[in-house]
Amino acid sequence: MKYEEYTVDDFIQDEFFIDWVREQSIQANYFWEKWVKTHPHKKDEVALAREIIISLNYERRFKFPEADSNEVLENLLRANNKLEGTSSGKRNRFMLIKRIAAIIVLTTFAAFSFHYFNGSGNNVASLNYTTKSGKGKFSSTFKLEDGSVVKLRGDSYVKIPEKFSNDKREIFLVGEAYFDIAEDKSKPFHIYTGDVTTKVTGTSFGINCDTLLNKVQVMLVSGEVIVNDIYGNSIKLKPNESVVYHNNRIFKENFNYDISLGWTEGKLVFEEAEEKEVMHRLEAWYNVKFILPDGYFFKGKYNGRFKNENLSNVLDGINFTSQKFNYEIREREIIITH
Amino acid sequence: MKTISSGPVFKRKNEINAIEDKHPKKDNCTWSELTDAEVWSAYKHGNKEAFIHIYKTYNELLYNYGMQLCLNHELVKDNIQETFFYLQRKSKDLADVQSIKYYLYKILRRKLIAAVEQERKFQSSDEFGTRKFGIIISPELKLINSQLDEERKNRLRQALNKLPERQREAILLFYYEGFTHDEIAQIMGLKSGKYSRKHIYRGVSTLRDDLVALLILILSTHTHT
Repeated sequence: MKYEEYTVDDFIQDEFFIDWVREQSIQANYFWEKWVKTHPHKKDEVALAREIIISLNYERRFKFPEADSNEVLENLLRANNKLEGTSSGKRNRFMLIKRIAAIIVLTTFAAFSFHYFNGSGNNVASLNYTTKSGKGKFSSTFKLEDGSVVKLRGDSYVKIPEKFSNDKREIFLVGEAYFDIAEDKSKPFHIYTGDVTTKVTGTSFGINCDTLLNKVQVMLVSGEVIVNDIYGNSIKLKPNESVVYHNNRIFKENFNYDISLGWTEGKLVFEEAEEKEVMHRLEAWYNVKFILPDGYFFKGKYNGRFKNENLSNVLDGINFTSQKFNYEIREREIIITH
Repeated sequence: MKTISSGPVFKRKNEINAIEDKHPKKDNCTWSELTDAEVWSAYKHGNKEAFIHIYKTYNELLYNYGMQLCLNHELVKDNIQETFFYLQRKSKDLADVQSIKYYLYKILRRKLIAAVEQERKFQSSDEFGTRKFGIIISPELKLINSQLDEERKNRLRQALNKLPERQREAILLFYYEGFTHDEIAQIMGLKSGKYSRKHIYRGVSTLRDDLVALLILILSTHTHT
């Protein structure tokens, strides 16, 4: 069903609509604000649906008495101390401390970076962060204050301090980005992605951080980077090497520049790609969703290269070399039939 | 950050206090700035601050949810403790958690229902004069409030609360708590997200007539003014 035919009850069940109401997705924001403008006769229906989504609540709310809440917390902390006490062996203890120390570098950095002690000691630096996102476009590029260039994929975002601290340059990344870091040996550049930290002085490299799979890949193009995980592992990369962190393990892996980083130049490259990989990458690239009524897209492997092509040209290209299918693009859905 | 050795947790705590005193308005820029996955990762590695943060963030929500399931203060309180205790014991074995809230709801619901069955402490909802998972469209609502007479509002509220209990629970988990269909299925023990969607679809469909009436009312007040 098309959005034009939606009634209030359809709107309040539509997850993409709800994303907009809850301001959870940039894509939804962008789409619906435009849609409402171009469909003014739907204004009241949209307004009513929005209000219902926002204001639905429990008829009776129960408040946890503070004394009870605190009592439970105290019991839990006491139980936690006991649990820790039973983990036997000096070595275990040592490992735990090491892990805590490692995680603190990562997470407490995240927690306190907004205002922490800088190198000289008692001088408290208060850092404000701005968030930059790809704004739903394929990619967007911007420069940082030190001259470094960040290319951000459309569905990704970074948190950047308004001003870097005196001894480090630090940012957070969710999603995928390509970095061209301006060289400054006295101020190493740290990129935080979940369990993994990447430290560099001046290089070019890409990072893909998949928060759903808890998987991070760092791909080095030039220069040198050091990648640390929360377990204290540290891996140094040479150009054309990549490191993957997945399932709490970290290992080196080869990567293909065109396939993995081609997006930074608008290139979409498939080599011996299975249908799953093709769909996954097209969905991320064009911010769409595949619908497969027949249960499959195409069979076999696909090879192909595109540069700055629109979606239907890419689909035509795949159609041309692989088996035949029909497609229909509706809103953000692509329906594939055979 | 350079001198972390054996007592990192306590050291951090002092630092937080020192910083927060100087920047009292910025205290929301600490743990709450992190994603669930990041907080969880810290907690999993034994960071006590992370645990306290998780508890403080969710204990009240869990209490309210528990009381909707079973109107027994002591039972709900005990099982909130059990839920977090379970989390403490199992945290090392648990996979990486993207949504801590969902995980807690799921454990609490399972524990509470088991406890209710075991102890047969089940209280009928009439005793408390409240139905389980009662729903309202809260009074802050501008559009409806200004243009809707009491009778219409009551009709919508009654229609909502005539829905079966499980539909109401799914509706509240979806709209108020913000869970996804897959999460709701896991929490409520449904086969898949499809069934959560079905519950909500059925619930909302029965409201369709009331919603249409509401809309006509809003439209007519627009044309009158």
